Formats: sequence, structure tokens, C-alpha cells
Amino acid sequence: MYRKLLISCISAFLFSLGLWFAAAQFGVSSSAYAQEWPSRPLTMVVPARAGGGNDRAARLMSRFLSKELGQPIKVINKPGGGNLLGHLHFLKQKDDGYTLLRTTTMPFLALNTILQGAKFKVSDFDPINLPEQGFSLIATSKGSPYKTIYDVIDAIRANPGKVSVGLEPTDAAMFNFQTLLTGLGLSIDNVRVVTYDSGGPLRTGIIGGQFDIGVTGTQGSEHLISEWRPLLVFAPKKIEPWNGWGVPMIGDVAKKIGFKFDRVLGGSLQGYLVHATLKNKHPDRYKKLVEIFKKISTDPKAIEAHKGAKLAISWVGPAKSKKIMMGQYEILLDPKVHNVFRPK
Amino acid sequence: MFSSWQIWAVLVPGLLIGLTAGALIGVQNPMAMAICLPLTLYMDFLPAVMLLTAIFTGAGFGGAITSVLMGIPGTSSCVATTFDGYPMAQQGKHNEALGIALLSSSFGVLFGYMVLFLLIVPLSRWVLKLGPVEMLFVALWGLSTLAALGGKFMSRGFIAALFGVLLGTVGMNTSGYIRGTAGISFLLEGIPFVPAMMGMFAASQLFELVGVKFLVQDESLRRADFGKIMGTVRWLKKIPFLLLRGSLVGTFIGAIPGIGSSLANLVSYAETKRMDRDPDSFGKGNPKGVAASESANSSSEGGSMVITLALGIPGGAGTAMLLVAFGMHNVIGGPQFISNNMDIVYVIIFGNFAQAGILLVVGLLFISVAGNIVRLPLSILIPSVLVLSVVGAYAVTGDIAGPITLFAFAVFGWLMKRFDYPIAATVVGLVLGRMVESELIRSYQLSAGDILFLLERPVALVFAVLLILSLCQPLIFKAFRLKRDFIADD
Repeated sequence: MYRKLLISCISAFLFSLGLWFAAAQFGVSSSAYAQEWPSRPLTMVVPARAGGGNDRAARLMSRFLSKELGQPIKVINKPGGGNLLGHLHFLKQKDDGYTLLRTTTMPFLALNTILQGAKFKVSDFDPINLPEQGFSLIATSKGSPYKTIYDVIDAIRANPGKVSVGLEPTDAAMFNFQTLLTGLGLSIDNVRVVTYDSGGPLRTGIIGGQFDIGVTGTQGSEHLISEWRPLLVFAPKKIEPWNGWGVPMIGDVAKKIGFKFDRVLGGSLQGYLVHATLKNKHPDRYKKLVEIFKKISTDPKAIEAHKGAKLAISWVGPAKSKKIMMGQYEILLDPKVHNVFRPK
Repeated sequence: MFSSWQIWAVLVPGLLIGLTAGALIGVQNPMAMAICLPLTLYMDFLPAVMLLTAIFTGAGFGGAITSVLMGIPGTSSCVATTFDGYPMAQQGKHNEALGIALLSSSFGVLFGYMVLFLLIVPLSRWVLKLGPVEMLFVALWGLSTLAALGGKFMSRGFIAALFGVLLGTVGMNTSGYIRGTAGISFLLEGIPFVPAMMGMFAASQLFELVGVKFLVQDESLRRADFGKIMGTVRWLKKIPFLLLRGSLVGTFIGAIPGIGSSLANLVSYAETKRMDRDPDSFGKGNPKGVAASESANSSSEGGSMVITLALGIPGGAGTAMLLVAFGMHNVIGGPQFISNNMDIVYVIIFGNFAQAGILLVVGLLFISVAGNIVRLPLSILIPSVLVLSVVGAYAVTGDIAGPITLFAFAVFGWLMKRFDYPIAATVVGLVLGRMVESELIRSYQLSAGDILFLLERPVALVFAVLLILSLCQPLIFKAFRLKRDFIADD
């Protein structure tokens, strides 16, 4: 008797656990009508692992968004394939404004379509605000014999094939570094490229001096200033705080050595996007989202929180964001540029 | 700072959430931490961090429950726990196995944080010295577990392991080459490991149970027994070195970014088996196997905090979640954090000492309830486990890719079991295949193929020598014993 009772209790527990879990996963979505939008929780897709820049920004922003929208925001991580899996997942969701996307638009959206054979178009994604523009950065360990970028260049010239360079092959850093080498009359074969899949281990490797130099991004790198020596930033204009720390920009270096460096590929252009069809299908929802993003981007509290977390926040707006995004897409359409990233 | 009651109030709920998540097949600790992240917004910084580390600790042990009772590891960090834990449960020694797992885990947590407390700065400097070549040797050390697994047929073990390594290389590798995805986009990231592992273990274990009524045959042994669980303390007192070794291995491997607990439990198991006087008893219900695996996977938590706290770079998904919580409270992890806020670091460490103690009590209550699973008739248990596995697989990937992987590998698992191929070998290969390949590629890139490069890496040389010594150890022991016997005979 007692045993039967216990058995049924345990099986009921297991069953309800399963149900609870399923409900939590699929989202209970029955009361989605006859109320003001949004009437249920929203989802923000992050096509990268938890803990990265996009993820941290998405989680911080969703705090402010949910306050304004009156609904919780669920952040989900869909990493893989140069953000391709997350982008596909986002497009598969309904274009009803309940699903938002926080991603690195460029170069990933472009590379997804140009090189990875994704069936979508870059214009299927509509930016609401892209406040974060990162740039490529060359750095070395604190104990490294290379004090300036010129030391590195001399070393590569003196001993071709000896200097080792850590980088992510799918990152804009790869293109910018190659362009620098081309400008110097060198090629990628004159260095030892050591490839990494993600920024964390790459940065640990730079700090630990596992290779001579590393090429990574400025985003999420500022707090490491006491641990390594930045040598060069690939930015078209002077970028703080790097300029203040005396790190030269690519333009200065090109001028000093005497070569042309006309195409800087932004490290990564990040921000918030919706389905391109939302604007026509639900103009009211689109308008509301734009207004709320604008309000948050200018809210002193939100600005302070983002600054504290070393995340960019500023109001760029849909029109200008789209212009910047498409501008970088144009650069990437050139085979000379995107072939650098072509998988073998 | 210690007087804040909130810091202490979150420990028990945190551990319980962690234990439940760990015991649910397929739910890994980063997922449980992610679910609780929004909750931490309403807390102060320290209670928030305490809650998350308590979940981390709880989930570290929770995985042992299904590993022991059902032979299905809930997370990748307790694969080695199944090797001896499940045979023990089949023999009706599930109380002892769970007791040993719990005590070893508590010990491991305590040890890992003790090392963190004493050595955080030097250890973080040491970790920075580990480059691709060193990591390659550590990964190979993990692969040496394969030799310790054994099985009925040596050749089938090799084939199973090779198959696993091969599967581990599916997807885009570190230098951008794409292999074996058959045009399926979700495979770019590699085969989803947890659903694959669940599928293989669950299918092979559950199909074997068809026609059996209960997990434990002897009815009198099916009770959860406090006395037996606690009785293991006396047994564990006899093997302090085993626990210390497991914890040391766990802490140091856990400290290496991107490697962590899924490797630590395997290495510790393999070492323990090799060092033991009676290696053949492993895999058949030797409690030392459980102690080795659980002390290592729990101590790796402390290890993984090293690089997270010292540099603000996450060592794995769990610590990445912790850094997200830092960010949400406008605290920047990194070198400045540890030099300016040593007091906070100490609160985190001491809070975790307390967690190790509380885990003993909470865990004991938890397993005395969970241990009742063995009383369920299998006609109820098997369908429940299958349903939970499918939902868990869905949760891992967030789409149908998880369940599809689960089913595909369930078929593999069943076929392998049917023809006597060791499933554990394939799983180990799958966990480590990608790691070994990535580090090998990087070593090759860095050295430009010059083998003499190794001479420039003293740490790697030491690792290599240790690895060879550890592999040859049974032979050395044997020779030593033969000689001794010979002298004695004389």
C-alpha cells in the first residue's frame, strides 16, 4: 500500500517535472490576442555563446526593455557556424515583433550569404539600432620583445615565416591583418598563423605570450590593458581610450611607412535587429520598438549601466544603422575581401 | 560583509536548484545558471554570485545521481562516474555509491577552493604559460583513459574509440575547414555532444533492462539507507591519497581555460585505475572509481574560477554565466577586479567553503529521496527516463536537432552494445576528439612542423615525460614486484 503510494507520487513528480520543463521550453503562448502588444514575453536571440559581448549586451538591454514593454524578455543563445545558426533560427520565428535579434551584423551576415550559402539576404534583417562598432587590434604580451608595431614589421621582414600570429580565421582581424601585410609587400605566408575558434582562449594566449602577436577586437578588450601591450588599432579615425594610451591607428602607421591603406573593415558592427517584414506587417509594433530603444539609449541610468559593463550605448537609429551596415556589406561583396574568409 | 544574511540565505536554495538540474538528464549547470540569471537582478552582487556558485556546486554533484542509479551521465563531467557507480547500483550498493560520490564531491569542492584561496595569483600566472603544445598533452592524457577502459575485445575498443574521435571532428575545425557535415547546418558546430552521449548511454542501458522488473534485484536492498550512505565515511578515510589526487587533477585541469571538468573526471579515473594494485576490479563496481571521478569533477569548479576571477576571461560556460552576472551588477571581472576587490574574492571563496559543508547535508537529504528511484518498477521508470531524455535533448540545442541526435545515437548505442563494442570508448573519443585535433593543429601551426620546437617548451616536455611514465606505470610496477618476489624467493 505504502509502496504503491510512493511509486505513484514519484512518477507523478517525474511527469510534472517533464511537463514543467516542456512548458518552460516551448513557452506558454495561448493568450496572444485581444490585448495591447506585447501581451506575452519576448525572446531575444543571441547567435553566440553565453558570456560574450553580444550576450552580455542582450542580457543588460533586456532588463531595460522589459521595464518599458511590461513583459519579460527571454535571452536564448544559438551559437555556431559564424552566427549562421542563430540567424537562421531568428528568421524561422514569426515576424510579429515577439522575437528580436542581437548579433554581430558585419561581417557575419555578409559572410553567411556570400560564402556559407545561406538562403537569406542581408536585407531580410532590419536594424533598429547598431551602437557597437568594434575595430581590429594587434597586441602582444607584456614581456614581449616587441615594443611597437614597427618592431614587429621589422621582425617579419628580417625573418619571414618565423613570427607567429594568433587570430580567429572568421574575424575581420584576418582581413585587416592581411591587408596590412599586403601593404608592406608581404603576405600571410610570411608569418605563422595560429588559429582559434573564439576570443577568450585567443586573448589568454596573447597575454600568456603563446605566440608573438595576436590580432583580436577592441570590444571586451579594454579591461586587459594592464595585462598586455596593444600595438595597433585598425580604425579609420582616432579611437578612445586606445589613442589616449598611445596606441597608433592604422592610418598613422601607413603614412609613416608610406603605403596606402584605404579599406578598414570594422571589427564588428553589433546591435539589435528585427525581421525586415515587421515594418509593413505591424507598423505600430515597429514604431513602439524604435521609440523604446531610443528612449533607453538616451536614458542616463541605462547609459551608466552599459558604461559600467564596458558596453557601447548610443542612439544611431534605424536609418543610419542600416546605412553603415550596408556600407560594410558593399566592401565585403568584393571577392578580394571576402575570399580572405573563404572556408577551405 | 560576512554578516549579510542574504549571502547565507541563498546557499540552500542554490544547491537544491543545482542538484535538481544536475539530476535531470541533459540539463547542464550553465543552463540552470542561465535560468536563474534574471532572478539575480533583484539581489545584491554578493548574494547573486553566491546563488550562482551554489548552483554550480550542486549541479556538480547532481549529475552523479543518474550516473549511479541508471548508468546515464546527466552531464559530460560525470561520464567516469558511471563506469563503477552503475555496476555498484546493480549489485544493490547504490547507497554506498551515492554516499561515496557525495562525500568525494564535498571534499573536491573544498579542496578546489582551498587551492584557489592559497594560490589564485600564482596559479593564474601558471595557466597563462600553457600553450597549444601543453594543452595537447593534457588532452592526450585524457585520451589515455581509453587504455583504462578495457572491454572484452581490445580491437573493438580501438574501433569504438576511433569512431568517437572521428565523430568528434565533424563540423568546422579551428582553421576553418568543414568536414563531415553532409550539408546539415547544425553540424557546423560539431555533433551536439550531450544529446549524443545521452542517446548512446540511455539506449544501451535501457534496452538491456527490457524484461527486468527492477533496477536492483534484491528487494531488501532497494531502500535508501542513511546508515549505509554515512558508513562510507569510514571507508573513504582509508583512501585520503586517492581523494587528494583526484582533487589535485580536477583543480589543475579545471584551471585550464576551455578544458574543465569533462576532462578532469576521465583523467582522474584513468590515473586511479593505473595506480591501483588491482586494476581489473575497475569497471565492475569498484568504489574507488566513483571517488576518483567525483572528487575530480567537483574540484574543477574551484580551478575554473582561477582564470575567471584573475583575468575576467571565462574558463567555461559555467564561469561565463558568472561573468554575465558580474556584468549585470556593473562589476567588471578582470585584473583590476582582483587587485581592487580582494575582499569580495575572499567572500566568494569562503562562501564556497560553506557550500561544501552544506552540500553534505542537503545532498544527503536529496539522495535519500532520489535513491527511491530504484523502487520504481522499470515499466514506469524507463518511459519516464526516455521522455525526460528527449525533453532534455531539446533543451540542450533548443530545437529539434537535439532529439534527432539523441535518436540517431540511441540506434548507434544499441547496435554497439549488441555487438560488444564499448560505448564509453566512443563517448570519450567524442569528448576529446575535437580538443586533441584543435591543439594538434595549433601546435603544428606554431612550430611550423618542427619537432625540435618541443625543446623550447619545458612545461610541455615535463607533461610528455609524466604522460609516458603514467602510461608505463603498470609495467614498471609489475617489473618491480617481480623483482621483489624474485629476491624474496631467493
